[in-house]
Amino acid sequence: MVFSSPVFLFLFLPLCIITYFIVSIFKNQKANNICLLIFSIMFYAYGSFDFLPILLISIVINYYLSQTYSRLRIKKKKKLYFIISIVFNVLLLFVYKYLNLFSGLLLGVEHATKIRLPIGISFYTFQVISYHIDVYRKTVKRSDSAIDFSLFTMLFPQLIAGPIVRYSDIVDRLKKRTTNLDNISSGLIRFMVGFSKKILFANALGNIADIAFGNLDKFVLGFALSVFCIICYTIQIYLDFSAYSDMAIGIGMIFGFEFPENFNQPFSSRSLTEFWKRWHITLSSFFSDYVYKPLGGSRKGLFRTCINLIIVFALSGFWHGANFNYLIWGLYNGLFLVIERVITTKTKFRFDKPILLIYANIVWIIGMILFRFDNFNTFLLYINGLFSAPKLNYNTRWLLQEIFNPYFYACFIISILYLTPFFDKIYCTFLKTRFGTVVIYVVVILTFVYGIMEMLTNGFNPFIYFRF
Amino acid sequence: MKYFDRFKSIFAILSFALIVAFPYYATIFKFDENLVGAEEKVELSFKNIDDYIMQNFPGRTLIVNTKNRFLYETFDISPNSSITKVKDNLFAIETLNYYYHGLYNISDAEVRALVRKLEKFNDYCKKNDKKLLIITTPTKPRYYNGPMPIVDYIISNNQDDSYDTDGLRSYDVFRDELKKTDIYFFDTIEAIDNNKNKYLKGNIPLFYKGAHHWSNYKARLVSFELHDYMRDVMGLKIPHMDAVASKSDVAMPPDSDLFDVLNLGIKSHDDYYTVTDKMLKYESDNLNYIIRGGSFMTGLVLIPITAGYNDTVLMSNKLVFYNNYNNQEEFETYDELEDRIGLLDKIKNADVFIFEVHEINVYNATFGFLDYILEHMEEI
Repeated sequence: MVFSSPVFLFLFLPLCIITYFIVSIFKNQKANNICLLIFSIMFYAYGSFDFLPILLISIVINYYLSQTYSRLRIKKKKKLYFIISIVFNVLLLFVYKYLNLFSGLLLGVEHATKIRLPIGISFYTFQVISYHIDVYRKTVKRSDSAIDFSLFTMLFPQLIAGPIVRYSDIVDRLKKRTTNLDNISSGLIRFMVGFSKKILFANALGNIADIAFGNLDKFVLGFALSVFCIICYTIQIYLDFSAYSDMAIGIGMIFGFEFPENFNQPFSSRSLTEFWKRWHITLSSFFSDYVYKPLGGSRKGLFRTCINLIIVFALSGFWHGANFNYLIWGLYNGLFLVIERVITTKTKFRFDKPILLIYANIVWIIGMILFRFDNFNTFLLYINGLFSAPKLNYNTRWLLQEIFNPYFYACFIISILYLTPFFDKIYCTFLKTRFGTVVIYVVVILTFVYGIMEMLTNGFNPFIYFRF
Repeated sequence: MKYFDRFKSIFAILSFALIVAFPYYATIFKFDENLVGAEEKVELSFKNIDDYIMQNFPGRTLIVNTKNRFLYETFDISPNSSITKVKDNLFAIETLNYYYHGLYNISDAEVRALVRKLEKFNDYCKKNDKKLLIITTPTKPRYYNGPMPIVDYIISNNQDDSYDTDGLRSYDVFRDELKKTDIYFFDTIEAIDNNKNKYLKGNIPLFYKGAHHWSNYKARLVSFELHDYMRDVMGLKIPHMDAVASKSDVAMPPDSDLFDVLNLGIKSHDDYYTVTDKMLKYESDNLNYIIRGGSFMTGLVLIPITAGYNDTVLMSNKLVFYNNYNNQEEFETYDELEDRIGLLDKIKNADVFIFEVHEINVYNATFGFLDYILEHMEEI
C-alpha cells in the first residue's frame, strides 16, 4: 500500500487510528501492539499479498534463531547460530534481489531466474540483521515477545521504505508508550507535510525527469536541458524519499513511536563525506556500525581506511539495486570519500568553506547520472545529449510544455527551497508566536488538501525507494 | 499557552478528520456529476482496487473541477496535458506540433502515391457513372495570429534537421497534386483564404478560443460554398440551405469542445451563437452517397443534403450512419461493416463518393477506406 493513495489515506489510516485509540482505552500495551501488527499485516498484504508468506516466515525463523543463540552459553554454538541468522537474511536478500542478475551473468539473460522483488525486503532484512548483531553483541536485550519482534520487523509506517529502525530505537516504545493530543497533531502535521512534498513537488520534478529520460531516443536534449533534467531527478529523489520518511515518522508519532530522522539538509553539505552523514542517515549509520567499524574503520591507518570506505560504498551502492550502475555509483561515492579523506589527512585543507557547497552538490548530481540510468544504452544517449547541440522536435513538446509553465516554476522554486534550511527556519520562526503557528498550520493543511486533489486527479503515486 | 497548544492540536486533528471524511459527506451531499472525457470505468477486481477507487471516488468531479480551475485561473495554464493555452486560445497540442514542427508530415512521394490511388478510384467512378469529391478542411493554428508559443519557439530554434521538410506540409503537396488531376476537389482552406472578410471577421469566429473544431456558423458558411461547388461544378441537384445565428449563453457542440474537456466546472467566456438551419429550396436527383471523413466533416452540413436514400452511408471517424441516418453505430474495420451492413453493396450502389481529408490527416486520408475499396475493386 502506498501512503499517497486514496485507499491508505481515506480508509486504512483513519480506520487504523480509530481502532488503535479504541483499543488504547483498555490500557493494555499488548493489545495495542496486536492491533498495530494486524494493521501492518493488512498494509503489507494489500498489493503484496504474494510476498506476505516470505515476510512472515522470515519473522518466525529470525525470532526462533535469536531466541536460540541468545540463550546458548557455549560461545562456539552461540556464534554458529548467530552466523546462521546473518547468513539466512543475507541469503534471503540475495535470492530475491540479486539472483536474477547473477544467474543472468552466469547462464545468459534467457536462462536467468525471474524472481520478483518482494517490496521492502532491503529494509526489513537490514532491520533484522541489525537486531541480530545488537542482540549478539548484547548492546540490546533480545525480545521475548513474538508480537513485539514481529511488530518491530513489520511496523507499517517504516516497513517498505524505511527509515531503517533499530530495535534499540523502539524497544522502550514497544513495551510502554503513551500518546497525547500534541503527539497526534504533530504526527499529522508531519505526515501532511511529507504527503504534499511527495505529491506536489517530488512528482512535478520527477515528471520532467521521466519524460526526458524515457524519450532519449526521440530527441537530443543538449547540455542545458540535460543538466536541468538531471537536477530535477536529483531533487525528486531527495523530496520523494524524505517525504516518505516524513510520513513514516509522522505516523509513528501518532502511535507514540519516535523513529530516527533519515535526512538532515544534505544539500547544505560542503563535502561528500558530510553529505553521506546527512543523507539516508539510517542506512549510512547501519553500514558504519555493522560494516565499516568491524572492518577496522579508520583505526588501522589511511590505506586500510580507504579500502574500508570503498568496500562500504560498494555495498551501499549495490544495496540500492541489483544492477551494476548502482555498484558503480557506490564506488564513485566511495572514491570521493577516499579523496576527501586523503586530502584532510595529508594536508591542512578542511572541507568547511561555504563555496565547497557547490563542489559537494555538483559531485552528487553527477553521481545521480550513474544512479538514474540502469540501462547502458540510455546512459550513452544521455551522455551524447549532454555533449551535443540540442536537436528538438515535436516529441520534445511534452517535456518543454511541462517545464515552461508558471505552475512548474512555482514547484521548482519551492523544491529548491526544500533543499535549503529555509522552511525549517520559517517553521521555527513562525511557531514562536500564536499567529505564526496558526498560519503554519493553515498553510500545511491547505497544501495537503491541494495535494489530495493532485493525487486524485493524477493517479498512482509510487515512491521511488519502494524499488530498493 | 497551554490552552493554545490544546487548541492547535485539536485544530490539526479536526482538520485532518474533516479532510479524510470528505468522501463520506461527498456521497451524502451528492457532489458528483460526470466529467467530460473521463476515462473508461474499470470493473472492481482485486488487482485494480486503486484505479477503481480513484475513478469512483465520491466528490471526484468537484475535486477535479476545483483543482483544474485553480491551475487555469491562478497560473493561466491548461490543466490538461494534451491541450495548450496560448493567450486566451486553447489548442490540441498535436495541431501545434503539426503546424510548427511537421508532425504527421509524410514524404512527397507518399502524398503522390495517395493521389495516384485516388486517381485510380476516380477512373473507376468515371467508368461506372459515379462521382468522387475530395474536400480538405483546415486546422486551428493556421488562423492563429499571435506570437509563436514559447515552447514552439524553442523547438523551432533547435529543430532536429531530420524532421525538416522543404517547408511544405503534406497538405500543400496534396492540394497541388490534386489540382493537377481531374478529381473533383473543394479546398475549404482556399475558400476561406479567398474570402477572409466573410470567414475570418465579424462577431462569430472561424474557430472559437475554446474550440478545436471550426465554429458551427462559419463551417456552415463554408458548407454553402461547397454546396454551390457540388451544384455548379459537379452538376448535382442538392437542397439550397441557409443558416441564421443568434446569440446564446450556451455553446453548441463543438464550439467549446476543448474548454469543456478542461473540466473547470464553468462556462467558456466566448460569445456563443446558436445556429438555425433553413431549407430555402429542396432539390434532389435521388442519389446514394458514401461519405468518409473525420470530425471536421460534421460542420459541413452533409447530412441534410444526402438524407433520404437508404444506401447512403456516412462514416465519421469510428462512427457509421446508415439506413437513411436512422442507425448510428461504432465500427472498427471495414470488413466488419461489410458483415454488418453489406458495405460492398452500398459502394456498388453509390452514386457519389465524398472523402473529407483534414489537413493534419493527409497521412491517414480516408482512414484506410480508399485502400479497402481498391482491394475489392473486382467485387464492386
